Amino acid sequence: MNISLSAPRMSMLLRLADDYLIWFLFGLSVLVMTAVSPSFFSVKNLISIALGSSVLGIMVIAATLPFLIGKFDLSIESTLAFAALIGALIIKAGGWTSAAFVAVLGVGCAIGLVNGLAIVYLGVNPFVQTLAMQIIFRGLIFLITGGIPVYGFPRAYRVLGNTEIVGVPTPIVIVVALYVVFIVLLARTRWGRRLYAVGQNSRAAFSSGISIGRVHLAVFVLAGVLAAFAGLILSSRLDSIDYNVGSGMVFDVFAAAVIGGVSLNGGRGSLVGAIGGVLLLSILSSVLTWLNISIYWVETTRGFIILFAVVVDAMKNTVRERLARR
Amino acid sequence: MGDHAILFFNHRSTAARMRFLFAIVDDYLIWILLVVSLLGMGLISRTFFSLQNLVNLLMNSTTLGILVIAESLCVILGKLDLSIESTLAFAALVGALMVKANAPPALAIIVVILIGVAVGAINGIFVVSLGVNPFMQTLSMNIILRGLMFVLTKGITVYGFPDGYRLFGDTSLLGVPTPILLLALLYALFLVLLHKRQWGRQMYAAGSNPRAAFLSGINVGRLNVLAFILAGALSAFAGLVISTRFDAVTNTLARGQVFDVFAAAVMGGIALSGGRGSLIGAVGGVLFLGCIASILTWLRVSPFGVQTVRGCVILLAIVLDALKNKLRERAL
Repeated sequence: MNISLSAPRMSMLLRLADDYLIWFLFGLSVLVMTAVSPSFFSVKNLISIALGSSVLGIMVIAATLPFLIGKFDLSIESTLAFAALIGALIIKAGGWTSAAFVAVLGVGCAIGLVNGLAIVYLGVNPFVQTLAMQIIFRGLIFLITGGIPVYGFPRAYRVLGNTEIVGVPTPIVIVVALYVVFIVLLARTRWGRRLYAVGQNSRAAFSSGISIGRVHLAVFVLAGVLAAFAGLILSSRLDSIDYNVGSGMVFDVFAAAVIGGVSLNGGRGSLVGAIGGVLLLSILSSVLTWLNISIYWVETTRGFIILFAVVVDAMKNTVRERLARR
Repeated sequence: MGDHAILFFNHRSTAARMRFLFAIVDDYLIWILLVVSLLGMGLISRTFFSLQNLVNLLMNSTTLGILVIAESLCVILGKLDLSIESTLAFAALVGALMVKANAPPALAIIVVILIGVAVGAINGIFVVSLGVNPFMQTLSMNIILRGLMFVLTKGITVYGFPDGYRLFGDTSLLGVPTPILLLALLYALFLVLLHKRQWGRQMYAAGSNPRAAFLSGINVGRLNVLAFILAGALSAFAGLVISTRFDAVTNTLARGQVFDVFAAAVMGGIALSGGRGSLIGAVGGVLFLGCIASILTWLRVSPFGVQTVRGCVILLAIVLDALKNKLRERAL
């Protein structure tokens, strides 16, 4: 057997590590956890981890689409909360369930549209545009509720968050379905290739006839709708909506995406990696709970985990560039 | 303005005149907004322009003002620093704990600044040498430092500092509160550094085109590390000023303030893409936000409404800024 690593073999190995690094880390943390405590991996515990990460999972799709074209959307956390609040208010006022659902998604669509239009046609910097929207809608939530939570929704409204399909909680089924749809959309359709093209080199994409404005609009509208949908699931699962629900969530979302190998500069990364990032973060946070880490240390530990992941990601990029230059 | 009017009529063609008018609006838009909002307030309430009220406005702008310098240094280089708000709070907390443990105030003050330098150095070195994305680097630093505050205090507010420690926040010189003097001094210093020194020109060069700057012999990496270190030190200093002014450090000190900082800088014409904008505009942005805040207080807008109004004002300002950029591109 020839064990010497020739250059192509080396680079293939690296490419494997590059694409699946997050899953290696994930497998590693699973192995360690199994060794430390075999009872950690009961089906019940795993389902509760998956359920706990379902909302984060949807939000990560909503954040990854803008990332792929090299843009940020900071407003998704407020969109989640505001859309869910509107739905909750409609249902509490005796409105139809279907009307409430449509309103929730409509709010998400509208916020995404405003973001997209301002960014494309007025040329506003996406970071500040979506930041302003985040502040405005968080403020509106505060203004509407006066800081008082809205809770106690009828059963029909809670169908997305609080039911099971063949023994699997509905939110998990929904997340899996959404990931399948978006992975196929991104990897197998012309629309997906356009997204990557715009993200890698928007000038070249424009020259080759892609309507950059339309791609941007679609991405921000989708991000808004997905965030609103996540809000619907979250509020119906918790059976309440608080004025600070989702506040600061965007940072976890970004962390999961970046850990999963999605580049903040656009054009690189995939949802297959991103879902790995979501699962890794969820596993780690349940490990922290499992190990009884003092509550005062949880936040700091989370920060260190994110830092570790982005440093690993950065080193991966450095190695890749060095190989490309060789 | 008189000179401008004469110059305006010196231009022969309408296009040249338009371009000239545009340049003025371009450079001074934030100041125009500021004056308009102040005048509007003056019309509504005659008593708004008391000296005390204006001094309050400035006092309330000091932290934001210093943080905006810190952020602008990074933004001019095309980098973002999200960790400044936690650096401010964490450094202030350590200083506060030291003086509460009877350490000499001078030592505590030095440690506060050194913490800022250390945080900035870590950020800068990780970003430059390891190539970590600055947004994610400073984001995790932000979370780590805020978490460490929680570890150190378990959520309890630290308050009641000795007089010696409160030198920068709670004194006044010739009737002017020290924080305002410090703010003015820092702006003067950094304006000179950025606009009259080689270092400043190198900063702008490295921000607008890092590759070209590198090829012309500028050490872009070192400039970046230095910018992060200065940002850390400045925010730690802001923490010293604000904590000694209020004589307390809470766990939520300056939480979320980085968004106001971005808003002020961007409204003041500092481009997030790097290489453009001046601290003169940025200070306009700071005063504008402060002015909006005191107008809202004056009008007794409910605290529930304040955030929404502020968000809308920021949105309006950045949309104006974006339109301005569009017009500029078309004019050129």
